Amino acid sequence: MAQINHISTAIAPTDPAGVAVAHGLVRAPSIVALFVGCGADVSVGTTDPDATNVYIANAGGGEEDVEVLVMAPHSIIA
Amino acid sequence: MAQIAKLTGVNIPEATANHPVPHGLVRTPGIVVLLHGTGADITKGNDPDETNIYLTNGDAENPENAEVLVMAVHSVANGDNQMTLLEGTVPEGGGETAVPHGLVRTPSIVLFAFGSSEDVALGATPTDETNIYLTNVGLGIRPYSILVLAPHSIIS
Repeated sequence: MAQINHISTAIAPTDPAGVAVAHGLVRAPSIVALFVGCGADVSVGTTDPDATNVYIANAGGGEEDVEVLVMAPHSIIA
Repeated sequence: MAQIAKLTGVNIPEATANHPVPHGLVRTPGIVVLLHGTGADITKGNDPDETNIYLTNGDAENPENAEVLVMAVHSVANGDNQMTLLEGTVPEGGGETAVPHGLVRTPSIVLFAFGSSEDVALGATPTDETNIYLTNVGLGIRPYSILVLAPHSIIS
């Protein structure tokens, strides 16, 4: 399984905790980086990433795009 | 010490040039990417060093936050380059501009970073072993800032 992945999706409005988005990595990512393709109201949720998902929040009133780079680097590079 | 880190909620005072921000990496980062969530007036300043990156806030009245991804990965240093940040400009006009990425193979991840013009996009020509292909639908030269990654099998 990967240690780096790019996720491009869209999410409906959420609370600040965020909605689960599957990351597909070998372990919980330590880095969740949002890129400029994200809608203006998108942020990293207050829920910590786990082995399956990252949590992305949308404070807007409608569906918004998400462009996120997730990384779970090996110990030699983390 | 880490080779990759995300710096979150970095506050840059108003009207400040080259504000030092400790990156905490093992060496000088070769890649500094401004992310979504960075204030509109924040730009990169002087080149990074072993301790800090440097950010400028062009807003004369208000502090702004920055979200920054910093990387000082081995692959950049040893010639087996698996990731880099491409920065430059695309001329106006309807054609495609080939931009050499310099990676060891065709990138599997191409991400537009903060500071890249909304008028710049990937062209119809697929990314290949040598180049990515950009278009500019704006009137005038437009800047791009694009993170490209071709992670090795052990990390992909």
